[in-house]
Amino acid sequence: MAIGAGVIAMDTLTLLFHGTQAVFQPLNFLFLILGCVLGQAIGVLPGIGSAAAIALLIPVTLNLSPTASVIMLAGIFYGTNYGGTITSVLMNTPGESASVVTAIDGYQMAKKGRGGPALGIAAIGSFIGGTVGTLGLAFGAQWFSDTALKIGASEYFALMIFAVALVTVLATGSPVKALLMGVLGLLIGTIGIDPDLGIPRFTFGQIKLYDGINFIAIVIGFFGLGEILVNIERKVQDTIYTQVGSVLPNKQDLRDSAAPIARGTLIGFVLGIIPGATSAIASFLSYGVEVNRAKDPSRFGKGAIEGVAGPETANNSFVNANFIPLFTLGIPGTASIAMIMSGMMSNGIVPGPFLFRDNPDFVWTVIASMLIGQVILLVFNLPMVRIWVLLLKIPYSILFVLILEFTLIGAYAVSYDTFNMYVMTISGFFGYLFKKMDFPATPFVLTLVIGPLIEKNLRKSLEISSGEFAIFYQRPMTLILLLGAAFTIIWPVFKWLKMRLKNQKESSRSRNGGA
Amino acid sequence: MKRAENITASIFMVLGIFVIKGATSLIYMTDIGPGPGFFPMWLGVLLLFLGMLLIIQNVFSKKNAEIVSAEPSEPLWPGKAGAIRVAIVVLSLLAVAFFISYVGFRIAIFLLISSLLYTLGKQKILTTLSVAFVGSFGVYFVFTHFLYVELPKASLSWLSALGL
Amino acid sequence: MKNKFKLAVSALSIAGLLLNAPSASAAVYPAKGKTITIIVPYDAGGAGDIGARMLAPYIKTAIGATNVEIVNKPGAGSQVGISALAAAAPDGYTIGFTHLPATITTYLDPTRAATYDLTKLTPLAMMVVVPTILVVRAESKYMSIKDLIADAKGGAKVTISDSGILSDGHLASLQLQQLAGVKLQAVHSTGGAATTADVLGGQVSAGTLNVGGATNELIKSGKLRILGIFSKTKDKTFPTAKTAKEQGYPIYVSTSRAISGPAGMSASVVIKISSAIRTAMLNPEFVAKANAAGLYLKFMWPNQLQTYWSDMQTATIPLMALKNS
Repeated sequence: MAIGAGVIAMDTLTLLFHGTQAVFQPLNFLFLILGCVLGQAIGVLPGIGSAAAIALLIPVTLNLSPTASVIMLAGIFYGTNYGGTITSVLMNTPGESASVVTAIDGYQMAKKGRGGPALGIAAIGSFIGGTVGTLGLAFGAQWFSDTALKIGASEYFALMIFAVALVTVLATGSPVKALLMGVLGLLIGTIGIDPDLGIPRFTFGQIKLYDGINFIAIVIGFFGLGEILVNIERKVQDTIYTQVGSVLPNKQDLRDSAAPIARGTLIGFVLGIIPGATSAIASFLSYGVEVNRAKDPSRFGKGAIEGVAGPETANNSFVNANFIPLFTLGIPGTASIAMIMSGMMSNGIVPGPFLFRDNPDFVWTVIASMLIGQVILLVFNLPMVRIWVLLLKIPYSILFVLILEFTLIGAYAVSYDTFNMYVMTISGFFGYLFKKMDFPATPFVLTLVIGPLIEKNLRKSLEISSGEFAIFYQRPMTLILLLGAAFTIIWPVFKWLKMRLKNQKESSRSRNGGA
Repeated sequence: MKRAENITASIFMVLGIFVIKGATSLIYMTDIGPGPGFFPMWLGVLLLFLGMLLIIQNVFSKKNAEIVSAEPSEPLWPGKAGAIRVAIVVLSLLAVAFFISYVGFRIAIFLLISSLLYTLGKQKILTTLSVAFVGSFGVYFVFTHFLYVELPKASLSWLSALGL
Repeated sequence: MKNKFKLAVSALSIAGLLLNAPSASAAVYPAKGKTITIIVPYDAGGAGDIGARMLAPYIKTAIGATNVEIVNKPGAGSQVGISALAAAAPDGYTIGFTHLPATITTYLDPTRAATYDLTKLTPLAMMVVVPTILVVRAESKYMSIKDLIADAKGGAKVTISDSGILSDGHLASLQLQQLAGVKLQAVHSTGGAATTADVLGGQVSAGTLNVGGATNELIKSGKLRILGIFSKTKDKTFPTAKTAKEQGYPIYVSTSRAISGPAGMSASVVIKISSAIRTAMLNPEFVAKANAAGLYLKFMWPNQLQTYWSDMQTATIPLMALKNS
C-alpha cells in the first residue's frame, strides 16, 4: 500500500514537472499572467464576480488553444479572490459573497491604521490555502472526490446549522439582538421562489422578486453605505483614515495568524471538494471557528487579524479544491467553476473520469499553472498592498463620494439592474440605523447567505429519508455536527449559570460572614 | 437608546405578525415534512417572541440603566445638521437609481459626485469638477472598454444621440 | 418600465430613420441596419447561452441581417426573459429561446402567475433535443427499470433525484410512478451536477439526467449505468442501453431548446427565420463546433414544433397535480 502510494506520488511529480515545463511556454505563460491580473482587477472592482467575468471571456477563448484558455479562465477564478479582499478591507464594500466575512474585521483593521497587515495576511493566507488546495488536486483528486460524495444533504444541513450556531451565539453584545438579526436574515432569504417546491413567497406578484433579493446588493448597502452614513452624520472629517500604518504584517501578526491559516486551509479544502458547498460557507465557518477558539472573542468585529487570516485562507483553499470534483467527475461545485466547465466544453474538453487519462497534457499543465499562479499572485500582491493602501490617503471628504459611487456600481453590476441600486440604498439606511442601535450585522449577513441553503437541505434530507427524521441522528457525521451545534449554544449558557451560581454562593457567604 | 430599541422591537413584532399572516397562505406541511410555509411561519413567531423579549429586557433593566450609561457616549441620534447630511446622501442615491436609466451613468454620476463633493465635502470647485469628471466619464470608460461591463446609457433620445 | 421601453423604441426608430430612411418599408425583412435580438432567458455563460452564442453568427449569415445580438434576460427560471419575449413587438426583430418543458411547467403553475403561454408565443424552430435518462451508480443492484419497480413494489423506499421540481427528470419519474402504480420518492436537487453527485454518492436509489457532456463520460467509465432512456429511439452513443418503452413503460421525456417569437408574427417572417435557423444548423462549421460541445442538434419546422409543444403540454397537465408529493 505504502509502496503503491509512493509510486503514484513519483508519477505525479514527473507529470507535474512536465506540466510545469509546458506552463513556461510563452503563450501559456502569457495567458496565465493575463488571467491572474484580470482576476485580481475583477475582484477589486465592485459587483462583477468571477462567474460573470469568466462567462464574458469564454467567447474570446474559442480562438485559443484549450490549455491556454483554461489556464486563463482558472487564473481569473482564483485571482478574483485575491482582489476581492481589497475593497472589503479598504472600503467595507465586499464585491463577492466570499469576501463578506473579510469586511467584518478587515475594515476595522483598516480604520485602526492596519489596512496593510490585513491585506498582507490575506495574501499570504490565500497563497497557502490556494497552494494546498492545488496540491490536493494533484496528489489525491480521485480519492478526495469519491470520499466527498459520501456527504449528503443531511450532513450539509447539519454543517450549516453548526456554522450559524458558531456565529450567532458568539456575537458580542445582546444575544437577543443577535438572534433578531439572524432571524431577519433568514426571513429576507425566504423571499422568492421557495427552494424546493417552486412556490413564490413574499413576492407581491413581482417577477423581479422571484429570485429573491440579491444579497450582494444588501451587503454592500448594509456594510459600505451604512458605514458612510454613520461617518457622514458626524460631519465630514478627514481624521478617520489619515494614518495608514505599517504595510506588512509583523511577527506578532504572523504568529497570531499561523493557526487560523492552518485551520482555514483545512476547512476550505474539505468544503471545496463537497459538491454544492459555497465559498461563503467556508469563510463563515472559518470565522466562527476562530471566534470560538479565541481567548477573548470580544476582539472580533473590532479588527482581529485572525478574523481576516482564517476566512481568506479558507476561501482560497476552497476555490482551488473546487477543481477536484470538476476534473474527476465533471461535477461543478459552484457557479464560477461551472463557467470554467463550460469554457472547457466549448473548447472540446469534457471533464470527467477520463480527463486525466485522455488529456494528461492538458490537466497537468493546468494544475501546474495553478501552482505557479499562486506564486504570481503573491508576488504581485505583496508589493501592491503598498499601492492599495495609498487609497486611504485620499482625504475622506473626497473618498466617501467615490465609495458611494462604488456601492452603486457594485449593486448594479451584480445583475445589470437599477432595481438593486434601490435595494442597496435602502439596506444602507437600515444598516445605519441598526449600527446606531448596536444590532450586530454578522448574524444577519450569515443567515441571509445560507438561509435558503439550510431550508433546501432540510427538505432534501427529508425527501431522501421519505419523511423520516431519523436521518438526522442515524448518520454519524450529521449527528456529530448537530450535537456540536447544540453544544455551542448550550455551553455559554452553562458557563453563565455556573458563574452566577458561584457569585451567589460567594455573596451569601460574605453576607453570612458579615452577620 | 431604550426608547429607540423598544420602537425597533415593536416594528419587528409587527413584521412578525405580517410574516405569520403571509405564511398561513402557504403549505405548512407536506407528506414528507416542512412545506414552503413552515420556515416563514416559525420565523414570524420568532420575530414576535424575540421582539417581546427585547422589550421585557429593557423594562426590567431600567434600574440598571443609569449605571450602564455612565460611560461617556455621544447622543444616539444626530442633531439636525447630521440628520440632514444623512438624508442628503440617501435621497441623492435614490435619485441616481431613478434617473440613471434616463440620463445614463455618466451624467447621473457626474451630478452625484459634483453635488455631494461641493455641499458635504466642501471641496473647491476645481477639485469637485475634476473628481466628478474622472469618477463618471473615466470610470465609465474603464468599465466598458477594458472590462466589458456595460453601465447604463441614456434612454432619452436627445442624450443618446450625443452618445451618452 | 413601459415608458423606458417606449423611449428606447422611439430612440431606435429615430436612429433607424436617420440611417436608413428610404428602405424603411415593412415588406423587407430583415431591413438593412436593423438588429435581430435573440433573448436568452438564462445567465450568460450557461449551457443554453453558449449554444445560442455559437449559433447566432450563422443565423446572421443565413438571414442576411445587419446584426444578430444575444441578450441575456435571466431570472425566475426563465420566466423573466420569456415574459419579455412574449411582450415584444411581433416584427421578427425580437426572438428568443424557450426551453421545454421548463417554459410549459412555468405557465401551467398558477402560483407563478406567468403572463404567457403557448398562445402568446410563435414557435419558430427547434434547435436541440436532449433525451432524459434514468441512471444508477455502479454499485447499485438495479440493472433495469423493472428491478427498480419490483424493489419499490416489495416495499423498499426508492428515491429518485432530479434537477429540480417539474424538471424533465421529475416529469419522467412522475410518469413512471403513475404507470407502474408505485411510490417513488422524488428528491429535488439544484441542477444536473447535484443530481450526479447524489447518485454517485449513493444518497439516492437512482437519478434522472440528460445525455451528453460529463454524464456520457461517467457512463462510459462505468461509474454510472443507464436503466432506461425516455425516448422513442435508442441513443447513438449508447446503442446497448434500452429505452423505457422497450421495458414496458412508454414514457418520452427530454429537455429541449426551442426558439420562439411573440404571438402574431406574419407567416412570411416566420418562414424566413426558421429557414435561416435550418441553414445555420446545417453549416458544417457550426455542426463541428456543436458536436465538440456535445449538443444534441435536432431541427424542427414551426408546425412540427407546435405539435411537439402542445403534445408535451397535454402530457404535463395531469402531472401538475402530483408534483408536491
